[in-house]
Amino acid sequence: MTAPLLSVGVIGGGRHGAALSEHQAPLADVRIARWAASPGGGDVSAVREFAARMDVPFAREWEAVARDPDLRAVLVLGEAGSATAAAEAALGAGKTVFCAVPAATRTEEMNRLAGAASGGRGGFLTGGTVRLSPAGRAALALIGSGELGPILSVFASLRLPVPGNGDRLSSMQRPAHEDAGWDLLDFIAGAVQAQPSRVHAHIEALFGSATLDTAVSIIRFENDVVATIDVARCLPASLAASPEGEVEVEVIGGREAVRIEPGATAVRVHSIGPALRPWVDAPVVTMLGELAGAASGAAPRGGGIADARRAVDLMEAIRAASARPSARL
Amino acid sequence: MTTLVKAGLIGCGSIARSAHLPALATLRDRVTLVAAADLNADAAKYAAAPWGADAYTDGRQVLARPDVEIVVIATPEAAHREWTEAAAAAGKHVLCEKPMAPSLDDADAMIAACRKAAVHLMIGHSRRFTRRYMEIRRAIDRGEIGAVRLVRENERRPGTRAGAAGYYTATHWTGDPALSVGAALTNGIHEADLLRWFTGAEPVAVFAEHKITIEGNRGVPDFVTWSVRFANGALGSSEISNCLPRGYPAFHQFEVYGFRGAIRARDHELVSLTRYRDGAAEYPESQHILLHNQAAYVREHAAFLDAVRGGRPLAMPPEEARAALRLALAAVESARTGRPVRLAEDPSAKVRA
Repeated sequence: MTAPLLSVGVIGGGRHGAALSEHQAPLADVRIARWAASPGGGDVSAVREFAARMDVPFAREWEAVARDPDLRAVLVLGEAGSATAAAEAALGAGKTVFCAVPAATRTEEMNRLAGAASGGRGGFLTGGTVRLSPAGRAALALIGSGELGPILSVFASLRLPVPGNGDRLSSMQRPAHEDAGWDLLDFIAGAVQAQPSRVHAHIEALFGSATLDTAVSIIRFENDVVATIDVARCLPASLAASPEGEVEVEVIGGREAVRIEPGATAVRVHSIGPALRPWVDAPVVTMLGELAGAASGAAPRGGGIADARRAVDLMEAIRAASARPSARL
Repeated sequence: MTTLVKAGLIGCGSIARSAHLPALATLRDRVTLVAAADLNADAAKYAAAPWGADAYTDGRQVLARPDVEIVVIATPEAAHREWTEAAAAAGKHVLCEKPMAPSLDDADAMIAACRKAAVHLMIGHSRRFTRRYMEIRRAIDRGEIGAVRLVRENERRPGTRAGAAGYYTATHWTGDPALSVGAALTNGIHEADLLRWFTGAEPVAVFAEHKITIEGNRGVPDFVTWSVRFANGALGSSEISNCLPRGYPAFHQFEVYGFRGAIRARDHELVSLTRYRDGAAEYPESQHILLHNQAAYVREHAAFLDAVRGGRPLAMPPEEARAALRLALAAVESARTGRPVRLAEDPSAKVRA
């Protein structure tokens, strides 16, 4: 006897929505039932196209998906700052929610989300591209198993194309670290599992962007782990850059170290087997898998409310550090 | 026919054995080692024997020899000032291993002593003589990537885990707080120098964190990460870890981004041989490519000889080494205090190609 299909509603588009619609074959036990644009509606035309491509009914109002009684789960995608309201409403309606990072961008949003999660009947899961990529999942599994020994340091770098070099990851309207930097913070929140005790940040516009395009942050955590996070929209037009950028991560433990190579994160289309691009398709497929797993009681690989809060706390600490007069020395 | 330059060596430990002595041997047609000294008599004999040189247990015996024209100082940095001042007073030209000194006062005293004695002082910043860094600097000078905006070099050193007699372990001098400031100087002085060299500007602000990661370490920070803002607006960063498993392939990860281009280099992309056994991969040739980059030390010594005998300007003036030290020490201060450090304009510092 086969398990019944899990009906999932999707709210928002963004890069994960694009990947989902391009991939078109999510999971055998998941059915995308409805798709709505993000709260704010900035991605209406894109989401309408995604839904049409997958032959999924398009909902004009995101609330219709969040509260649809026929849906057991909701996948919240979209860009930074658009997710909290949708996740909150879906949790309030008893859905299991997977929210692509950032689930919340400010402490006040995070508090609302945590309240909705604690009062809801469904579960809450979150995760970003780094955490949910095959390499990121393997790294977190090794960290979680204790095989690396105590974590000593984490280095995480994201290199994005400069404007005009095909960047489709970021909106270019927000500072680089407030945009794609969430993927790194989400991974670090899962890897370090501690609160920051001291943060320094250099955040600059170095490459002619209208917004801040470079952020180097150094964080010491309460458990003495030191993380260096380096995000820059710096890949010049002369470089054949992946539109999704390049991620490099190293986690050094007392016994072992793991390293995610930039080359492993660039877009690669495999010609044999399922055409899952590890840095594009795999994360969103994993999000759907997490929803299906949650419905069947499987242990989650994504983060929960605690991880989401840690990521928000990290970003708030970086903002505060960059705003301090000493950061402008 | 020109006569060979007669060299003395003070400090016959690992850097002397792995770098300076082989470099001198390569330059046998220009230089000969006549005296070597180390507190460890066996180390001095080991260094001296292939040359038929005299071995001593006190560097003053090297400096007392009138035939010694240049002195290579390869002691821990805590002793650099003492030996440099003594060598200068004896009229010897000095090639001193990096880092220049544990303090700016020491560095200034070294410069002053050599200036007063009218002898050359060069600090062994071997990366300046490493081909790939030289090529990067030339590419920047040619304008190939436009104005430099962001530079990063991370350094990962494997093989210093508990039980191995490597850097910062209980038995190595770098792990002795009386002799070593830690990773910011022992390793990071290279990165401090490279960030200045490639941005072409002086640092104005730095923040850093450091810590101890190696079991048995006696209190010397062996990990450091820093971010630096330079006077021309560029940013630089480095993270240095000495606690990697053996076989870790990524020793140096370098990238520089300009307005028009980027240059990136990673050691593990230069791995020439990978050895697999029992499910593990080893990269026996990866270490050879950079850390034991013999060609860099040969070029370094040749450049020093060019100044001593050829009348050429020093390829690495001591003021450059002092400026790198200033940045590295600011990082140490930031890490110790938990606060960003502002560097005032230094009229003596000017980045030179």
